[in-house]
Amino acid sequence: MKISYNWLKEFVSFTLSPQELAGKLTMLGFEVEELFKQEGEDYILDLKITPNRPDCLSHLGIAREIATVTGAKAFLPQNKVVEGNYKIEEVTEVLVEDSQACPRYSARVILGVKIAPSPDWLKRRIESVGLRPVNNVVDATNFVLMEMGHPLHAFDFNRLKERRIVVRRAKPNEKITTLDGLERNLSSPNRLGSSEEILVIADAEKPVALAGIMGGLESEVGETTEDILLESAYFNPTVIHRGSRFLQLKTEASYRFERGTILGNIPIALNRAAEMIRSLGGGKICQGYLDVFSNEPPLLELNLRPERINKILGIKLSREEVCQILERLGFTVTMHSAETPILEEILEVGIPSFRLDIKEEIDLIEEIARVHGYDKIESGFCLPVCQKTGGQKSEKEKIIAKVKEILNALGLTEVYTLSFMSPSAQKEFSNTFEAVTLKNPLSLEISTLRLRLLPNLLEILSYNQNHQISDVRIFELGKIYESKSEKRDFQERLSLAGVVSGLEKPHHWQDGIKTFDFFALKGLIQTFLTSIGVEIFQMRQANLEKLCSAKGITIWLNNNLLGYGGELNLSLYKEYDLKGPVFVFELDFEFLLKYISLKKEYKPLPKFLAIRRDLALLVPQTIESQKIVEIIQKTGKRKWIEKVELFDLYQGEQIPRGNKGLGFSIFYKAEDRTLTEEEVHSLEQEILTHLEEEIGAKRRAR
Amino acid sequence: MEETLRNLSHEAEREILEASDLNALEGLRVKYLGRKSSLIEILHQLGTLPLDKRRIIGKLANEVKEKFTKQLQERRIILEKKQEEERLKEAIDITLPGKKIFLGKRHPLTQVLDEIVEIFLGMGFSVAEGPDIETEYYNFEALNTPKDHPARDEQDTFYITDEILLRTQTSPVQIRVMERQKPPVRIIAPGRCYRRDAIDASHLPMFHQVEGLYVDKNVTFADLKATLIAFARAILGEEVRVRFRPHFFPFTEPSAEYDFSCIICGGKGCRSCQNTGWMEISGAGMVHPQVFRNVGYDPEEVSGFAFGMGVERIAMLKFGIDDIRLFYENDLRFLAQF
Repeated sequence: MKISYNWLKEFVSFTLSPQELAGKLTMLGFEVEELFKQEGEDYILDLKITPNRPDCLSHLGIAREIATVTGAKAFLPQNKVVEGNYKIEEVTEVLVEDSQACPRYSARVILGVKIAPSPDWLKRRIESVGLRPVNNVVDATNFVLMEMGHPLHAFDFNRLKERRIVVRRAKPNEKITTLDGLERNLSSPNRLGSSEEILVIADAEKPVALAGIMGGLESEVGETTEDILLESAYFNPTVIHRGSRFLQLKTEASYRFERGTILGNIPIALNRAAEMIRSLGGGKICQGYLDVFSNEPPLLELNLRPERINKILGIKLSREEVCQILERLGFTVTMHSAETPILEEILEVGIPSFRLDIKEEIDLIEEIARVHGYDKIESGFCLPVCQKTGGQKSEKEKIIAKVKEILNALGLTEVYTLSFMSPSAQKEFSNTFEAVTLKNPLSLEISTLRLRLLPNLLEILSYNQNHQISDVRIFELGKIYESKSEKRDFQERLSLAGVVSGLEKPHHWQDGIKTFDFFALKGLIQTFLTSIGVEIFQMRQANLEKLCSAKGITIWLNNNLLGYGGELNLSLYKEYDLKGPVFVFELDFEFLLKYISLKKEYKPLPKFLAIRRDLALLVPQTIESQKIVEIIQKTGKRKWIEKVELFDLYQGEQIPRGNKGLGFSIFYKAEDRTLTEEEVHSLEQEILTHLEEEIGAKRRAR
Repeated sequence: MEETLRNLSHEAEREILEASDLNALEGLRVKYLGRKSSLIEILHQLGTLPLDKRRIIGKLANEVKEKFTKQLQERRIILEKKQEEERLKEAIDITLPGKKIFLGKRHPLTQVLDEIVEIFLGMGFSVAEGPDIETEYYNFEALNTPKDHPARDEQDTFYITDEILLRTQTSPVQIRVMERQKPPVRIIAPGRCYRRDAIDASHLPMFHQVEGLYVDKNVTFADLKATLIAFARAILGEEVRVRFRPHFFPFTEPSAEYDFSCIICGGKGCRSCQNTGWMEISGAGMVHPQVFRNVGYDPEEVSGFAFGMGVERIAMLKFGIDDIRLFYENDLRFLAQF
């Protein structure tokens, strides 16, 4: 909200420079977003007013705050009215049908006003706070708005059917064209979860204004207007808030009404504006004003314990200091009589009507802290001791840190992508579960939450490739989101995905160029899983359809699907604007977490050496190498075979058609002794027999 | 035959001693000990000789064979050593590129978040977490922000259903923790938050926040100040000052916004801080009694403070980054800088 430095001086006297004033207001909780000089030796302060302080949405309100710090008093504006002969009851009537939504509605009528442009001083004032001058009547209402913070509305009295006002809810299918020229449908705002209709100001027939939001075009005060009906009312903040949201229409008036206006200001603002209109445009103000009003709520009184203030703030304020601050703020303070010693320490604080935000003791404590100054609260030299809570990272966080460290060591850089995804990308990648869809997205591209991490990573790959970065090795560890069982059950779980494209290792002049390939990916996943303590897992060839059809794998842990990976299909290159080959993987990290443990237990190092024997085999082409490893291990009953490593795959001329040559290094080892040549030899023979019987493999002659 | 063997012995000894490298030596091994060498041939022919001759020649041949083997071995050791020495002496252009390996980096936001977490762990805070997809109750109502509260407008919210939304702050974690744990509570809750902000250099519809909460007997506003001042110094340096300004949040009272002195100009005022000398960080305050009542705590018994901070904001300050979008573009040249 814009505040004029000069205008402010009409309500409170102070000697602060504009810069000093800005500093004071900032430290009082009114953040100065901008301070600038304006023609006519004025300065404008653009203030951010928090939603709890609607009483400060005016020059008067800010003046009261300045008075609090300077110790001066704020002046109230003049509101004497010079009235004519007609009595208001004889010219109009006001009917409030919904007193819940409109607890107070008051009106004055001014007859024979000459509509004209405002004088220069008024135009300047209006313009200085960011409003557009219209004519003397409208400008007068806006002047009072900026002065006192109470929104008013002026109607062309003769345009009101039967010259009367009805405050009611809109009827089905009613419409109104508002001052901005838009025709607005006032049908039921059901979609806000409320069956309330919009509150309108109507004449005998139809709506003439959106109550508290914007006037109607038809009853607008213009050049031909002669007589004016001036409205000053209180509208229920919730009703205005809902209406404004439904209509997507925010105005200076709705902004204030939805935060709460001050009941007591209603007649003051009404009289002030009526007299101003008369003095600017002539005419006669009818005697008296209509005021449809139930009882004004009694002023609130709160108990305040000075020791409580110190307990919350951690300071030592005396009772006298507390009383002084409260009185400066316009609160009244009564001390309980000494006859009731238990209550002696309690202050009874009377809350002025404009402080809508003060409802309980803590609100008063905040006021005292604010005026005393947050900067005067000593922060002390040591941190509070809290014995029962230790600074602990959870096991999960420790594992995540470890996992990121290992992936970094494997050459993968961490990326962050937004949790959103476009519905079309979702469709491309998933069909199992439905994506979580936003009701009010910013745009279609980010209207659902990601079901997988991979699509976002492919976009990052594309971005980098398009910026001449061809070696891309990235991963993301983050949440994915699923909507289950009729959109009621939303689940989120951690996923880990990676994308690699480019060279297997940085190019060096001594080596040939080798691009990252399927086995590099497989090895990367294997190394990763083993290094986090997951040693037993299976990889199976799988057709991942749209993702990786030819060179795809699924990864299994304890017969549960852990994830998938492989070489990306060509069809996706075009879609994501990629250069290949591209390798991807995604693992269900939430599931993997159950198998990762940071607990380590020492195993004694082997005392005896292993004996290595190489075995060159001729096997039928279709046999998977893993099958051979399994047979070898099975034969060795595991305990004598430490490990089996493939060292060669040969398919050259010397191999008969339909076969392949495989070379394995087998490491034989016993826990308790070094095996003898004979033992190794006989086990080797046994292995060969099994291989021949089960898969028809033969030893290859050298 | 004896003559041949003797000559062979002399000739081989000389050649072995003269062999200048390992290749030549291997040639000599084949020449004198290989399948087709004269010595092996003699050994093969032994069977055809008369017994007495066979014994003499056989003994001699075996002696020669042993001698060859020994000499070859000795020479090999010498040559190997010589070769190593020469290789070491070999002049190379050490300015030629080295063999590098790919090494990954953690994202700058992870790095900053880890640092934030470490600082608060040291102050006795533990890490808590909560879901991104929240209910209205946890995100607003339990935090003293009922429907139609104007404060809700300031955080334009993504809704999934009428009651389910993407959390606009990590503050709901406060409620979840207090509901299941009796005081004292001292936690921080990092996580993703969402607001319907259009994308520009300082806004994204998603960002990371760290929420802090400390509830115990006798926790004061002064403690809140001490905690955040200690944090500021730890993350940005000893010279950083912290300013607390009154503000409004529905779930804290008194509420504050806190600023750090501008790390670019040291608080003198520059373009980065719009000449104010201060950088706005985030909000904090004393937990509102209504929030305590909502979770079944007695506000007469306990008090507490809560604070928030944006991870992107801190990272931008720390590294001098002026565009928040860089964090999510993931240009590898950007990520490699941290």
